[in-house]
Amino acid sequence: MITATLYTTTDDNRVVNKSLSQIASVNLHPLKGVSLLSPDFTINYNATYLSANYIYVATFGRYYYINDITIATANTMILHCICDYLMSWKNYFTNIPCVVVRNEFIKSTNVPDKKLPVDPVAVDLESLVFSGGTLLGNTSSFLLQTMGGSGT
Amino acid sequence: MKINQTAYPTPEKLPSGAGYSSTYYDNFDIKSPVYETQTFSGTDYKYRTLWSAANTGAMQKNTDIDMSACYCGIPAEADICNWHWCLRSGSSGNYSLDTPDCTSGAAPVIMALADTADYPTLRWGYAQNDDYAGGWCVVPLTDYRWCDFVILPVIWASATETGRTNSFTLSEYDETAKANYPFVREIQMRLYLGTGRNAIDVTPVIRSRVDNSYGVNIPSRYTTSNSNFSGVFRFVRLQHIVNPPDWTNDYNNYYNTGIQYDTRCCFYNLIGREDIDVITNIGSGSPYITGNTFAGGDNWEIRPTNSSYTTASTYYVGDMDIIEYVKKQAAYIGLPFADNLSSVEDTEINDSMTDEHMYLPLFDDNGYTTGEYKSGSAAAALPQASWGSNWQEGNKWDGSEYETFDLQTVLNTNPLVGGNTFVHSYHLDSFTASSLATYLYTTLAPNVTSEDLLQNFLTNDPIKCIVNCIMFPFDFTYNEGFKNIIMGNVDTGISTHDVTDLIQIVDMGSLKYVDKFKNFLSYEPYCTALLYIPYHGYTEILPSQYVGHTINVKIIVDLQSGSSIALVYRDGLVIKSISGQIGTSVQLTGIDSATYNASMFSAINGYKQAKTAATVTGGTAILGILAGAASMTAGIATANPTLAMGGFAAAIGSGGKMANLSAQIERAEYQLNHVQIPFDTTGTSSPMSSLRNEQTCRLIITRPKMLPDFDAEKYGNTVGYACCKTGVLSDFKGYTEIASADLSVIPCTATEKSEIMKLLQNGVYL
Repeated sequence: MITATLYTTTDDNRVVNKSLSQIASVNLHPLKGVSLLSPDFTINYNATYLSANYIYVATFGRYYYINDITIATANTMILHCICDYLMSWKNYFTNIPCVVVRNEFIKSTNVPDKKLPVDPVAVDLESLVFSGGTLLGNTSSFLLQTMGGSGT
Repeated sequence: MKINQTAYPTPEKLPSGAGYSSTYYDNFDIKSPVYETQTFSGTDYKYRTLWSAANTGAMQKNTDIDMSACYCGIPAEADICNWHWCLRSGSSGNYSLDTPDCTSGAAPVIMALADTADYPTLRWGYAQNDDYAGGWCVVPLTDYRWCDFVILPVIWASATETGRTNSFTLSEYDETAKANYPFVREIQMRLYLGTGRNAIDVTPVIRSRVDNSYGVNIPSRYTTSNSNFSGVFRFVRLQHIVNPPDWTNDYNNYYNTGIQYDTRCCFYNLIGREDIDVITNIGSGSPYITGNTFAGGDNWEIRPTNSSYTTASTYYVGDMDIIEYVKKQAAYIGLPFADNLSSVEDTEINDSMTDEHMYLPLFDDNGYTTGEYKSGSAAAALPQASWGSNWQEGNKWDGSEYETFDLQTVLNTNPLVGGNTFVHSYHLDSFTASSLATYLYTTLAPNVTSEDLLQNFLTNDPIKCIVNCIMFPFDFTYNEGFKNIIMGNVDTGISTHDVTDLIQIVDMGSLKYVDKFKNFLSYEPYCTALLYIPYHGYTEILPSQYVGHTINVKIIVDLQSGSSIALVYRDGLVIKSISGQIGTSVQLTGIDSATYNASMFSAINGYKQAKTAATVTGGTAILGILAGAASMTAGIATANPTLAMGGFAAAIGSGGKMANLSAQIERAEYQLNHVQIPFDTTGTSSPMSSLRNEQTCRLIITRPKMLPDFDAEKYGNTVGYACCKTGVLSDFKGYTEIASADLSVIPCTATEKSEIMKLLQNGVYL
């Protein structure tokens, strides 16, 4: 006998540690071969199970999304599932060495971010005048060179 | 700063025109070459202060100050001051920035900046000197280590809102006093210095307190005793001390006369950006100037301290736990700090320390403090725990050591020898130029003969004596004393200065390129920068080369040709040069005497021939004419060939031609009387349009803008900010994308590993 627990979750699929609301524990009745990663589970029909979108199968040690439900007969329903790899293996993520290139909270000042929505048209223009220059802007000085006499 | 409006009147703003402005100044360019001079007791002291920098425009508001300047050295060749830490303390009393002489005494202990590195090594002493009115002085510090400073935060709290305050270290307050003394009135940041740190106990203190219980209400400057000061951490510029006395023998005078004018400085507060308005002294109604402290913002309120509302004080009302708040503020200062006195006195800061009561602040990549800190062994692993005798290893704060890095461009300023061997070079102003023109057009013109020209001018064309005349938009250097302009062998009698230095350098000033974004947006391709240099046009510069640095432009001018090279410096090093033309050639004209003489000869000859032709009509002269026809014709031909032939024919042919002959004479006479003086020119006229363009350098920076609806928070949550961090996944939170990871530890199928990798690379929420 394979038991499983039905849940609902509203978390984004990309959330590693999802929040689950339990609906019920059920018994699974595999009538034929069941895939480990994309299983179809047959269970007794119960209208309350229709709201489930998530299932944990302890025997497989994995969590699954319920992608579709088929009412097979008046008494049975088939849950078409696909493995949630993140939730299933979240306990091993703690010490995985990695290189993070984007993060919600870490802002590396000197790593260019090509996704940043920079306005392609509008720019800020700043114009700064140097201080301390000595050009006069007038014609007050001439250099005159003449030939003749003795050189200096 | 929140004011309890029900307790006392609304505080007044600082009146305009006062000697102190409560607006803090940003973008202070410490390399500004602006000096002021003050005279004290007949001696001029040259100094540069924040105040003078602000007044002269070297300082600009509302852009971030470069805090990294506090921790780095300045090259000895630079025309700026070196940075030193100085401590100052004083006796009790009030301190007013409106009184430059600081006559009223107590001065805050500050970190001041000295203007020269020529001070002795660390000399610290209890500076209770009363020789100068006010009794304060400064000890400049050299040869110190960063970890020689430790701050001991002290909390002053009372059991009741109006009760007496008691002082506690952070450890004491956290462990034993918090519950019983909940009303925090003041935070002090006591600075300890020196090995062992037990000699410099409490003199330098930074206080948060705003307290007018003694009739004054100067939160930054009030002291109750010699043992502490009220003030915030300040930067103030010491003046350049010219010819300082031997301060080993003249200790007091050195301090008193050397530092007195720093009170003219407009203080910039390292911490305490809150502008506390003038607070009326309740009861007396006399306003007192307040200043910036870190006891500002929403974390502090001013509340009455007694039931009669005649006194008031600050109270901490912040949400953050007071211990964490104080630690954060201490970390912002950028020095080590401890939460108990024994750690201050005994804990050595190094890479093997383990004392959890000793904290080291953290800095970001730009050298700014972050308010974060580590303690104990975690702090020992930080680079700052190992900072040795230099402020930063390898950064060389001592200016003289900068020479080994060759970070300066040294121009060749040796005098040019032999440039004036064959010519004379003169400086003309507009008046002298006009005099020369008068000489050429008026004096020379009526008095020319070929013999005079050749003998005097070595040419029969005087204008050719002028080799060059170039106009410059700046006053170039010339020799003192006057000389007459020599043309050939002729002394024109026009007096002016001669010039021997024909290669000159014009400083076009400088500008600090401030990093506005403090991230990649400040650099290309997001930002572009255009530099305009007068007479050299516009040139594009790379932000990555100049952001955060000072740009200086100097123009090397070749006076003889007017050509120039503009050198673009980055902090004293030239990394770009542009050619240009700063001098404009001036075209000169003068008489062409040779042509004039030839014209005169021709006209005279023509006249003679015309008169001779007229006498031929008498008959006998025809033979004479015929005999001399060739020469006559040749002579007249230079004047008017047609007239000559006509005259000859008339003389041989018909008596009716007499009238023609008369007309010919008249024409020849006219020509003789109206020989035009021809002019020759020397030099060429160059375009002067650049003179109308701007005469100062300008930096034009184009920076990107975000799209109008950009929401940074949502962006981080859904797209994430670009970064490049290594670690383990548990180190990260929120939306995260990875480049790659090692998934060896996961005992899943290969398909699952592949899918997990894809998910992590596309982004997950941890």
